[in-house]
Amino acid sequence: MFSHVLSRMTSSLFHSNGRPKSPPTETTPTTATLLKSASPGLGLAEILQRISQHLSQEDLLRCMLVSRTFYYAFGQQLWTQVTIELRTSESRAWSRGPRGSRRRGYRSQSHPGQWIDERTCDPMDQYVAKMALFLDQLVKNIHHVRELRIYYGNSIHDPSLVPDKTRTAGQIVEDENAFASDDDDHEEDDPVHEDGIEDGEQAAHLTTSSQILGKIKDVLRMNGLERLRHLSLIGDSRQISGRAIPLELLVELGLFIPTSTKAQRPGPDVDCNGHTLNGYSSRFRNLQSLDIILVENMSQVFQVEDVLRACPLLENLRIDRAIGPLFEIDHNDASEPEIHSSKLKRLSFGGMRWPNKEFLELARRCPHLMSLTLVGHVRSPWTWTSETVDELVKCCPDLVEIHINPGYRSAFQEELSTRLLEGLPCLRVFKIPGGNFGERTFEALMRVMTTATSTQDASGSGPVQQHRLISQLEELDLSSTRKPGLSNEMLVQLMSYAFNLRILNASGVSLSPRQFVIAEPEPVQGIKGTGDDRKTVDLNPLPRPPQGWRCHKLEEISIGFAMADVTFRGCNNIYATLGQLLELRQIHILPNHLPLTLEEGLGQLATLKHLRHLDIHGVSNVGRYTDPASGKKAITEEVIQWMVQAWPKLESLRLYLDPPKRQSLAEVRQWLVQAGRGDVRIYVD
Amino acid sequence: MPVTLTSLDNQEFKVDKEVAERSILIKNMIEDVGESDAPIPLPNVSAAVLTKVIEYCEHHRNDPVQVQDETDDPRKRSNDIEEWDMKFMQVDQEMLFEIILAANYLDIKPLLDVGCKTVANIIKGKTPEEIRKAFNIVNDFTPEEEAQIKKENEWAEDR
Repeated sequence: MFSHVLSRMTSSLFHSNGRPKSPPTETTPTTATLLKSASPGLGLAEILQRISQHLSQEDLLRCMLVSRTFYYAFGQQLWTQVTIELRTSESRAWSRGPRGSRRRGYRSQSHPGQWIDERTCDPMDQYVAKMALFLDQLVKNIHHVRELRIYYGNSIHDPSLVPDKTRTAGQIVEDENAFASDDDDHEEDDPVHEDGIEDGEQAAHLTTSSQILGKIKDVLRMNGLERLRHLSLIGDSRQISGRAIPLELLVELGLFIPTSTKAQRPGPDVDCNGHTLNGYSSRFRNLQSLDIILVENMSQVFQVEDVLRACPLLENLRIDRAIGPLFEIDHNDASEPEIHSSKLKRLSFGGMRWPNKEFLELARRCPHLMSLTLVGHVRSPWTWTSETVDELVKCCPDLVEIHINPGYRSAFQEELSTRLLEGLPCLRVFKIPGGNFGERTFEALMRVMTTATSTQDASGSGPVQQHRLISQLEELDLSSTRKPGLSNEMLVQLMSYAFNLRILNASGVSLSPRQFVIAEPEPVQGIKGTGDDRKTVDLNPLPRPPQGWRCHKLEEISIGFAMADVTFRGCNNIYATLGQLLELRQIHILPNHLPLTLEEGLGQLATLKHLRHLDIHGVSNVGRYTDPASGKKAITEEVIQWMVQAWPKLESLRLYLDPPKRQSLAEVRQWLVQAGRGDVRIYVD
Repeated sequence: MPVTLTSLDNQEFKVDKEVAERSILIKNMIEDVGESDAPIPLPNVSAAVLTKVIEYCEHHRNDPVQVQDETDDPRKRSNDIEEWDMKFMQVDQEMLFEIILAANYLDIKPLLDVGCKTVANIIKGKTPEEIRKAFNIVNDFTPEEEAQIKKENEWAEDR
């Protein structure tokens, strides 16, 4: 029995002196102290920890009330991953519900897609009180924290909150500037906001959120955070104005050093093992992963250099929407301390300007880089040249993941894509949406690669294996390619060799259902032999006779079909083909009015037992309605019931509802509840 | 080539090397000892449990080596158990925990994960009293201690 197994652990873990220890009180040692002194016994504590990893916060809290054994075992896990959603006040547009409704609340950042209604969540004063209690407990358990995520800027207002009469509207702006960016300037001549909140009330909110922010800063200053492995500071980018990470916080954490104080930067300290540390940054000396998303507008240059200095063991770094070049080198200052080669493996920069020179300087210092994500700045054209790519692949030869989104107004030249594909032999992920795509890129994806086998001798005369680059890719994003773009024929040929592809985004290609055919699985073949005796077994030469898609490992597919081909027969063919991709988790299809009906073949997707997300553009009708324009049938209760039975892992449906039909969304929700799957989320567009 | 495994109760099991090597412990032992016909003793695993473990390894003999995705939050994957594995884990509680212990000892991470997910699924959504009932656990808190814990966790009420 479980109790028997647990008792074996209990004997060593909690009854070491023959008497059970009490749970921590104000005067007794904390859980942290007790667990530190406990011996793990037969490793059973680790097993309980593994079990606890699969439990939600609510479940962990309930487990802690079961028994002393559970209290200690599950209590530790409760504080391993900590997420703080910092709610702030106001933003009248943001306090509205979805699609402009009058419902107030906020969107959860840590649980995307979830709307927290003001009527069901704590009012601001209760939120602040609970947050204070939470932070007190966090301080006590800080040694357990390994992952800390702080979300800024979920805004909510509370009309019941008594305004702080000691403050004036003038002080609000000052206070706000001190803690978070805000661009409510347009409200200056509008003392009473559209939602009825007066500036005085907002002042009170800001005071409370400032107090919470002050406490969070205290937490981040604590010594216990040396054990932190993952830190995320995430602003809310979904608001037009944005609630950004305060620059002041980054300064306090030593992740940003204002230019004016550069001269006062402390020299490196050396720890007892001879490792170089900077005194001000040793708090994050063990940090392996750092996300900073949406830093407030800065007049100063944000420097990755400061981050790398503060976090010497950093392997994953993501910085999104910070302003200014990411890396500055003072070429006139010969005494500028050199950063040694960093340990960075994953690097992601979004929405920033960076001069080529600075970017390459950073790349040179990241020889272990395996994953690179770059999203272009909306106002800056992409300035890479062929030389930039050549230098990048030379500096970071281990790159296996490339994701570059050049941005709305920028073009990513075909020459650059081709050089990346030719220069990175280990590539597994290639995502360049909106890039230029032509024959050269296609040929680079189809090129034959030769690799030595494990039995090849030093002279290189052993057996070799050959395969095409596309065969080794696991993720491919060629959506909305341009000049001339990915054609139907190219896509079909690529997919006939994409044996290992898990994620495909080819939206933007109007594929004919006739070209969407799944072929029988086929083992990867190549050349076998020794030295001059090498024999070609099957090189799959191009062009190949009529073939089919061989991407049997696909888990996510985003694809479009030509409108003219979406006939009754065409739909049946699309569903029949998708039904053969048994590993599919997500489906996104983007023609208009692809009907979701059993008559048109939807039932053929019953084989997709892993399906979690279904997003078929064009489902404009639900309930009893029939679209008069297209004459297509609506989603019916029968279809919804079929879906939840056929797809036990379904998590979300994306529906496209015309405004007059919005009412029927409630019907779909009701059907899901009646089918026992009220947890399935519905997105509307 | 078959490998012989000896259980706690001295029962011998002949299994393919490929199957036995799903256990990292056994794999390392074979590598350390080299080619040998000598049986491999597994003094922490009974014959009944070893039979189940071998059944699991046979079924998953061709699975690729599991690579843990660090970015994937395990809390989102606890109900992600394959159908066969779910049926395999439909055993009484004692056997379930013995399988978990054996998977831990033999270092078979996928089996350990499935076992832990199964236990987590039993716990999910239950009240403390229901959990006690499910696992036959005695509440050894004093009323004061229970009140203290509730006070500590007040921040999480009705969030």
